[in-house]
Amino acid sequence: MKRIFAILSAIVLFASHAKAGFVLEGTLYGDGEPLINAYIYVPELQRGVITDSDGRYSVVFDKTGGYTLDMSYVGFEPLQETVNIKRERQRKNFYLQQSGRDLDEIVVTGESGLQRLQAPTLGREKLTIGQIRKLPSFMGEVDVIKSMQMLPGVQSTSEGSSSFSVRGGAPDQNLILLDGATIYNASHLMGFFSVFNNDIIENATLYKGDIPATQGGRLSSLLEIETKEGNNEKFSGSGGIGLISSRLLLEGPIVKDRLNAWIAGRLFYAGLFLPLMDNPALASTRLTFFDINAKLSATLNDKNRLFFSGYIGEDYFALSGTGEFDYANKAASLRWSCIVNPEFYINTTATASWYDYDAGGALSGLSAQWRASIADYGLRQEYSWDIDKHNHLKFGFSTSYKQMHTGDVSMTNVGIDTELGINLPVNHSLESALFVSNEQTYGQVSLNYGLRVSMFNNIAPQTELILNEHHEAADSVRYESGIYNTYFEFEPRFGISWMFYDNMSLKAGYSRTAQYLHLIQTTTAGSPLDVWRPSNTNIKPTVCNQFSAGYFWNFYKDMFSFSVEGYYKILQDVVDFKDFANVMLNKNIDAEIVSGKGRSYGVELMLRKDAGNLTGWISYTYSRAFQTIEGINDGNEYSASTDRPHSVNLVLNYKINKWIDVGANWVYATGQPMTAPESKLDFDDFGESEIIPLYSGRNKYRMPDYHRLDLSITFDLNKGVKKRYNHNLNISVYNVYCRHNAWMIQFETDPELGAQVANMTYLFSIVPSVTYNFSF
Amino acid sequence: MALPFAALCLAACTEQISFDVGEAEPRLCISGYICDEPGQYAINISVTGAFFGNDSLPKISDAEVDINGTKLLPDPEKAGRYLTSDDFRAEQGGTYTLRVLLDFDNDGIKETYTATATTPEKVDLQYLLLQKLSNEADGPFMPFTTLIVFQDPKGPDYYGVHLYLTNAADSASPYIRYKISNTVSKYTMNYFDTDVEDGSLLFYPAYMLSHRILYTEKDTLDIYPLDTLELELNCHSPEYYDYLQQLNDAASGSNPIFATPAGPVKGNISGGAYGAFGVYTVSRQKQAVPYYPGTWTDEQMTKRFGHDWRTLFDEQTE
Repeated sequence: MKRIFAILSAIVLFASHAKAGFVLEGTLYGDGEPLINAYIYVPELQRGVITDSDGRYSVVFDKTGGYTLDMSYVGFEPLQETVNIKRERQRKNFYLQQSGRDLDEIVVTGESGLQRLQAPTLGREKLTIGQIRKLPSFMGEVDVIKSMQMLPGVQSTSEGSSSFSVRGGAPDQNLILLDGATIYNASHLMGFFSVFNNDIIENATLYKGDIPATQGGRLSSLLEIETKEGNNEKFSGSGGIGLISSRLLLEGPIVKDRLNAWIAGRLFYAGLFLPLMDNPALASTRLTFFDINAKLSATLNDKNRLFFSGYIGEDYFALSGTGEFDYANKAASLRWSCIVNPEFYINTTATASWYDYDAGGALSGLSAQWRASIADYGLRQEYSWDIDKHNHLKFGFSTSYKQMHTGDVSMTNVGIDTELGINLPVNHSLESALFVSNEQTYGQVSLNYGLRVSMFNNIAPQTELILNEHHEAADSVRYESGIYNTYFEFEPRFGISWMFYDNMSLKAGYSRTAQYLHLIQTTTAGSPLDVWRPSNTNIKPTVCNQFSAGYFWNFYKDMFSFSVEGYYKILQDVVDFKDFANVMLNKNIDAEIVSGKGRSYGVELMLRKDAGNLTGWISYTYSRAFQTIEGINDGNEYSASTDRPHSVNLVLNYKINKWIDVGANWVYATGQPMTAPESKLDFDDFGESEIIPLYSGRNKYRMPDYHRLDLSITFDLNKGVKKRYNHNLNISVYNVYCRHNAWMIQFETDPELGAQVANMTYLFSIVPSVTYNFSF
Repeated sequence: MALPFAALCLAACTEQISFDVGEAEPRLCISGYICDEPGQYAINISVTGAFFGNDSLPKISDAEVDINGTKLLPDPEKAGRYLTSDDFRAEQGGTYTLRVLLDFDNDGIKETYTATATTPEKVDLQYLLLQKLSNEADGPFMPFTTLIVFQDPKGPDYYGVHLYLTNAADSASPYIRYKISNTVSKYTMNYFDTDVEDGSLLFYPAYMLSHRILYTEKDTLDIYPLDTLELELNCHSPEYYDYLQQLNDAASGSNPIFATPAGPVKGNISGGAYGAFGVYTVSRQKQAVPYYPGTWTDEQMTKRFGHDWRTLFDEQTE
């Protein structure tokens, strides 16, 4: 431990060598709410700052005098103010006015062009809800994760799925946080919708590469969803009415300027129409989901604020007379934001996340019930210290206790309950970290460096398998109490940005990340029944070393930007299943999981137009992902299931006039790798001939390429004029040219032909939708 | 558990596509088993072929086949099949080596393919219990279970079960083998299971049955009171069990629903051939199907036993 503290202290000391100058600090508000990630630029300093998650900013000046502040935020009129710096510490709040126009047409990303050039972070993408709403929607439901899937390096894992892969990483390598609380299953309806109601989102930030040292636990990406803070000035609301779902948000002050709250709900009711279907099985099906989000923001005094954010969402599905199925996410976070002094902030956050599912069926009195759950209770404290105008230091700790109940199956009415029940063990673990990072600027060079030291403990009682040399279960050992297994990982992070010209920069980064939880997927499409398995004495944590570099160029008055980023990842102890693994409710699941090496690399090119009536981007990604694991593919390297070499995303929005917007997406991706039968054998099964397919090595073949075009048109029913009641109508068409994209391919014997054939299942043809959105 | 997927599949569409997997090299496939009951057992030798299409797979009828030096003769009625004598029987604890000599690569020299298996410990099936699952008359859904009771020996076990039905009213169909193998998984009954102690008396629900058995993709057979169910418990040699498991998994296809990655099938035949050779032991128990009031309709019972069927089951009805 002494070594750890020595390293962390060295970073703190290195960062804190300089003294502070003259500090201006305050909060930037827009329409009564603090604006998160707003940009404040000081031309005299040739640098800018970004407001934090409470809308606070802090600018350090070398000397007294008059300075200009250029403040901007999507959807608000830019504000330019002159301040006279006279004292060592000054405080001033600023208020942006909502734009009379819909400003969403002006900027397509959550970051300004200058921010993207300067930030010493590679692979960071921000989207505001304004941008997300401009994209064509699926079944009328605008979705933050579906929008993220349009960015280079981000791939949907299957048709319509909220599950995604970042830079060749597996879906379980993405950390998804809702106001700091981990969301273990971010999907509704088997992934066709994400759990994030777009009304409640303030910002969505995806880190594809340099995950900040303040966060960890996943290898590939961090998706931070920040909910809106609530309106301190007036009661207001927004919502939408669609053909299959509707949503409503209400917000307002409870105690003016002291306490405000909002509550939002979303209900999916397509199941109401199922009884009208001709197919009797569909007609008897019940299908629904709902989300409820709420947030309370309290300003205790000038220096202390409290935020409570809660979420509950549940899916329910029943097939009449056969069984029912439901799963639910719940998350809560309580954050205390404290300004110790203008340079030093403390954020303390307590979080809790729960995910559970329950599947049951009753057939002629035989009743079976499958229950599983995850509970995650976390605490983190993060200190922010603006040491001087060049150094912004963050340090702190986080810890979370995780209880993973991978499943109980009980059967009743058979008279022999105990023998039929399957009770998988409950896993208890503790994941903790100390972290420190500093963002430092030297002229045109910006640095971001830090270290995260993570620790993972397995906690008894637990029975662990002992595996033999063939990776088969040979024995077991029982631990009755205490911590019986511990892993440590040092996770350095480093990023550098050199703005070598006014509108060009070069960046490079390195990050090492460790992951202690592994998703045991029972389907390739992703399912709520997937279970998480913690690292233990048999399964080591997976570690990823990522090297990345990029070139960024803004041109034509910053209206256009071009970027190219490359990355190379080396993974240790990446896990996969043995061939023909038995994963369902298997007590000895460790014997089915094997580990080895992985590597992935790629290049992401993006050209975007950020301003004007026509906005959008086109991106091309070349991405490869391979694994080498003893026992799979005869120990030879094989394509990971996320290996999709080529992908193209085209996103366009065009403002025809003040009240009509049109949008288009076109997506192309190389088909998903899959294992396919290359030949067949005739097996004599007790005198009966049975044709058995003989499969290739792992993921040797691919599904057909994926491509799709979506279109949308949005009518502002106030004809471009902001009023007390604003409303618009969105018409979207998903998969306009009716491409049959493969969801799965099965290799079967055609009963009529008696021949072996490949049958492709696709989920959607053309899917039109209409949504009426409003705000007041 | 697969309900949401089921709904998806109902709503989804399927179309046949062409899928190019190139040409796979033909490989020899040798498989067969012997058991501890006297009988005639077969070793089958064939050649693998391209997956797509309906070309029949070639059989090999000119191989030399022996088990522990005892020669097997080609079956004159079925190509590629080699038979033991009528009274071949695997001894308890015996080790058997299958040897096949064949010039498969046509180079003028016969290659040798071998596999060895040891007879596993015999497990006595003590009881076969039929238990009604519900008192409700719910129609053709799993009204009863076949519960098997046996003493689990120490060490890893590789069980398989077969169910036979002797249909009392249909002499033309003396039995139908209900086609499920290896439903007793080594994973749920393995020897270090902390809930089920190794060596304990096990009660295992081998089959959930309705009064209608689906025994092929198209055909069904109704079970009636007084029919005899015979359950056969097999203890396999591990290599053959693993091979059967892989074949079951491979046959279930590349369905992404609750499936894990498929891969090449591996057996215990040396020399580069597919297939496996195994030994298993057999234990059986029989039980007559009781009359469960409400399970069969009046029409069904009348059709099977005549109008006076109630007199046959008066006692049970009361």
